[in-house]
Amino acid sequence: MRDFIIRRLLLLAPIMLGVSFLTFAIFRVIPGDAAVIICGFQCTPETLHDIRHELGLDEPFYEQYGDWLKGVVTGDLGESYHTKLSVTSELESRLPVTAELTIMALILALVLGIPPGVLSAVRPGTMADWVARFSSVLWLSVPNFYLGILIITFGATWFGWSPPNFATGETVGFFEDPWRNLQTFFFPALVLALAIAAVIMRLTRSSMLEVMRNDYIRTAWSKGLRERAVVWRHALKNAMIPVLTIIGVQVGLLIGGSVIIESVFALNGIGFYLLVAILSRDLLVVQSLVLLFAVTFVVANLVVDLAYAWLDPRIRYG
Amino acid sequence: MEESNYWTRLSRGRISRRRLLGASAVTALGGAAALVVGCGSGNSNGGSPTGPVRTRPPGGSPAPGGSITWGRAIASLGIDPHIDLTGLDVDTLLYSYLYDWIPGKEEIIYNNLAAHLELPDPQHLEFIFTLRPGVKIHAGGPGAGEDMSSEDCKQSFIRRGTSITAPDKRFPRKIAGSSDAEALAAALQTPDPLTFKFKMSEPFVPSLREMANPTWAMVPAKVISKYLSLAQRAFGSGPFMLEEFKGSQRIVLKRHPEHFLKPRPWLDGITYVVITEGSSLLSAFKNGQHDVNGSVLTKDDFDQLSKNENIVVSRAPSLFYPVIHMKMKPPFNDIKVREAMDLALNRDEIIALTQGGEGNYNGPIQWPQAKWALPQEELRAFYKYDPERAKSLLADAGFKDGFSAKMKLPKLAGATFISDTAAVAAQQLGKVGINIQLDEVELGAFIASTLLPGNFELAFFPNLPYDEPDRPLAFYHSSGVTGSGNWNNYTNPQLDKLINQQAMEFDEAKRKEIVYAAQRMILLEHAPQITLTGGFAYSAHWSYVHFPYELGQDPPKDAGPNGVDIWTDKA
Amino acid sequence: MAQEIAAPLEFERVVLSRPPAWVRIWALARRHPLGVFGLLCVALLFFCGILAGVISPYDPYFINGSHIKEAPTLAHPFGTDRLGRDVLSRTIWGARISLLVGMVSVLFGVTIGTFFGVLSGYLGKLADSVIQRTVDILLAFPPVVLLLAIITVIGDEDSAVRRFLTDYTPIPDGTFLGVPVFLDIFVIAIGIGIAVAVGTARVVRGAVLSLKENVYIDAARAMGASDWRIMTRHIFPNVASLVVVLGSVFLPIAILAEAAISFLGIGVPDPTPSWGADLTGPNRTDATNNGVWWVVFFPGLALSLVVLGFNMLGDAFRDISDPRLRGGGLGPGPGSGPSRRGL
Repeated sequence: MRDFIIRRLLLLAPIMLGVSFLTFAIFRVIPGDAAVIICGFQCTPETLHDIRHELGLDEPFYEQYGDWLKGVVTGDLGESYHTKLSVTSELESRLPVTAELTIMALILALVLGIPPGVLSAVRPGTMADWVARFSSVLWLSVPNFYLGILIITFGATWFGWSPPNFATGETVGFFEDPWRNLQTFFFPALVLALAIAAVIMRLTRSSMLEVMRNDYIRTAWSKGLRERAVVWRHALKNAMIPVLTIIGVQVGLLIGGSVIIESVFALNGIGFYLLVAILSRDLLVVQSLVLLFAVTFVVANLVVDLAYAWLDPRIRYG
Repeated sequence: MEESNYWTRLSRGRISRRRLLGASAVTALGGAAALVVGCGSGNSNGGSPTGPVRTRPPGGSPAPGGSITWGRAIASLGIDPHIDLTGLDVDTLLYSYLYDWIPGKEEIIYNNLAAHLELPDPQHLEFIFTLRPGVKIHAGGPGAGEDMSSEDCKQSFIRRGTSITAPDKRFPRKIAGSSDAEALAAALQTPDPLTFKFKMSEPFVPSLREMANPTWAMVPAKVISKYLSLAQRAFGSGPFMLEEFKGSQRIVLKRHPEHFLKPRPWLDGITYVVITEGSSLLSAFKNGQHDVNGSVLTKDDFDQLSKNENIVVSRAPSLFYPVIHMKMKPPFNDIKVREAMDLALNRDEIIALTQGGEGNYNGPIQWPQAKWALPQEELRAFYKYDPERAKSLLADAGFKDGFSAKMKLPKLAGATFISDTAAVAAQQLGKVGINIQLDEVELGAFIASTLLPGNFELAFFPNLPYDEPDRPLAFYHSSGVTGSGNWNNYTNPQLDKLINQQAMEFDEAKRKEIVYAAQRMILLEHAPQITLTGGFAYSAHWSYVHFPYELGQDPPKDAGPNGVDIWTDKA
Repeated sequence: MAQEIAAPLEFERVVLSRPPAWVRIWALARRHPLGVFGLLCVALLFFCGILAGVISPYDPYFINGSHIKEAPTLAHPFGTDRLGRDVLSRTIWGARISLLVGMVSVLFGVTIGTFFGVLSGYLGKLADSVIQRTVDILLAFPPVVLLLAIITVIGDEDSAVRRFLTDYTPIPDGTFLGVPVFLDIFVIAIGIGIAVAVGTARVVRGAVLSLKENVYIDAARAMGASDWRIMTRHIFPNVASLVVVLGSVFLPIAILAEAAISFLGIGVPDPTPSWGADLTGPNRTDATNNGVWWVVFFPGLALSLVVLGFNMLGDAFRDISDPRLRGGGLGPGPGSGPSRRGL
């Protein structure tokens, strides 16, 4: 088991290298760099040249890449070409926003997905079953940004409500002002969570159906165990295994989705930061963020694999 | 204080060069919005013949205290006044300037650092400023509590005059007589702490206007020498101090207690909140979360807001103008084709569709520049809508069946005003057989691959709004706005001569003649850009916030520097 | 249980006396109403997409100053937008754009992905490692970054890819199929297609790995067949049905992806009618602040219906093909466990 973990972690390095190298390479090929954007509409070749020189963008490819790599290792992720703010400090203030958003979305997805899935499997054919199945298809289909827009539009026109972060331009931590914090994060998290909840619900349902057909469940029934014990203790734990797998993939989708939702709800998180950085060719910011996303994705998958191994004794990677 | 070039000192320094440069004029973060706000000073957009709309009379007596929240559509990448262009409006509150300027009347108001300006020479070849004593520098930084002096002016001039990204360096170059920083330093004189003077190497009419521009902030010399980058920090002498700068989220200002106009400023603080998405920004204002609106309003929005009695709305002609640029190669080097294009464009329809029906025709100089632009009647008489004649002109030029051309435009996120106008224009041109293909290019790619290499037939993008005639005319000069070539490849030596002349003519009546002559020459040439129409900019704020003057009004004679007179009823 | 006993009898009955086809289809439809609804939605998508030029009441680009921001009326059933353009027409043509981008990206992506998946799975060793690591790296990118980077790189005027596309392929640069600047749309489709290819490659590789174990592969090799022959004759046909399924799964995802990036402002160029693009910008301001709800509501509805339709259709197919999962389960078939195990 330990070897497995170590092996997987070691694999992280070449992937990270590949990701960062690819980002760097892509930005060399993309037309326009940070200097161009800084230069603006009334640009001349001389000004551009000067700006490039000042930013260090005219250094050879490998030197720039080398400098940046060195920085990553020492913890200095460089500075944005535009704002001069250190990427690390921006990350510090933006990470909590995205983290809270994705964690809340994940929790909501589990809460909204698992119980209806179980219910649907345990009581097939009832109204509850139909409602659960129908709503799962619905949530899966309506695009999350559309939902987000609808919420903000109707919030504004019917209730005169806008999320509190519109008023101050910043989000408060959960422990400072829970109600305000929830107002800010609940709807974006919900919008992100619904599609994932739908997937989880369906998977839970089919997985439960599958598990409940098994012999050991029938044994438990015949032993006279109450339904609750049967369902929750025996069936659910085994049914969760495939669901866990899906969560790993969904984390990746969550990170991608956060970019869109953050821009819809004007949340200053990492996703929004990334989008803006790409559009303004802020290469150092993009690189660092892409690296961060990649690490998160890989680590999340690793955690899922480990949990999976722990849950299902049949799978041991040792 | 060393005389050597500020920038070379930096490059010899230990700190990496990367810290030097900063933000851009137009970024994907809200490009068009920045342009609409423009480079004018303060919040006045020029005395207009049409005047503002007020739903509440001015008056009431100012009371100290209170803070306001000001919505903001564009993220500010930095507030260094000499380098960054996305924070200039905030800079006018943080720093002192030599004087304030009334655009319509072209008058100086001595409400800022300069108590008086002496111009011994009618050609403005010498400037002698007498500074006001007691303009205190903000606390918390170098030179805190000290008075602003001529040395501060000198260092600010040097810094602004040699900054790489500053928009227009013709003025400082004409002081120094060259682009050399040492020459500039030598030309600026500080005989005593309250006297600042310099001579020009050649006359330059826009000088007076230039020094009131928000990029000419007077930064304390000690601050300049201590801090290389003022992108995220500010120690000025203006009515407000910088408390917090998070450019893409919020900017917090607090009152400068030692401002020379004590007990003003009335406000305790101003908070700018950045929301780059237009509809959310407007919602925040309408819900009362923001006290002053920050979103770019259309006529429709304006009408909706006017219905609310508790909102003060105002409007003024906007200097923003998107322009069709034509590259002087076939078919556009044929004057018949160009004239046909002008005849095919229905400017009234453009006004109706993209400006909510409000606005006027633009000539080579935008119509809000009331003093210098050709009279509206003349423009309307010239730019007739005549598609039949356009078609016959095209046939004469050999294009009986019309032709196709590609028009490139930048993709400015969230601001489809440009693509809307382009779509309307394209449809109109299509009716006479000129098939325009609209090619929207992502901003970075547009600047790098289309603009800089001049890689286009037709390009549609905004020129920087400026309220001096010299700048708009410079687009027609063979050396262009930047002094090193225009991207249309248009040359007209006679026009060049006229443009050069007007920049040196101080007699207003004579200058006006030259400017008119230049514009008329351009009209007849139908080249190299089509300036279409210009509309209005709208502003709104809740009535409990009181401004000394609204958008479209001139500042009153006794107005203080920007921001000092704002007060609020709300606790 | 009762079904298992009844099955043989059912079988005999079916073989001996089959009711006419339409009766069977009708019965099928009755049992899966949601599937029928899904089929209708998908059919509507294709119908609008293919026949957009014919059924659209107005030109979606036609700017009409006399009908600005009109609420839905008989003349304009979905209303008009800020430039007087008919929203119904824009929605119908939006279907064409979505379909175009979706189909091109899926066809491109699935083809490339299958190719590399088979190569990777069958050849193993070095080819496998290289391809797998590349896929890993590409998968680790946030999708928006990848898409934007690809689109900007490929789409650039001077890029080699674009020059190749304009010079050596028949893909038109101008208006084609009623879509202006067709090449830009095509480039977006390629961008999404690359993401599709990555996902396809992973799945196909897994399938190939298990196929490889089959006896007839060994037999073919024993008979002296080359790797290439085995891949084309035996592997490819067997993954074909999987690939078709993947295609149908990726199509709505591709459509959503196009809508998402157009929504962010980095996709389809203005003023091309795209459901995603119509949800943002001035349309959104008009809807939120000026009461012009129809310009946002209908494109969003169309988008939701399309994705809904695909999902319901997919569910119905799954029900029909595997009765044990009757009622719409998503996920791996019974007993196979999570696909990760195979990798």
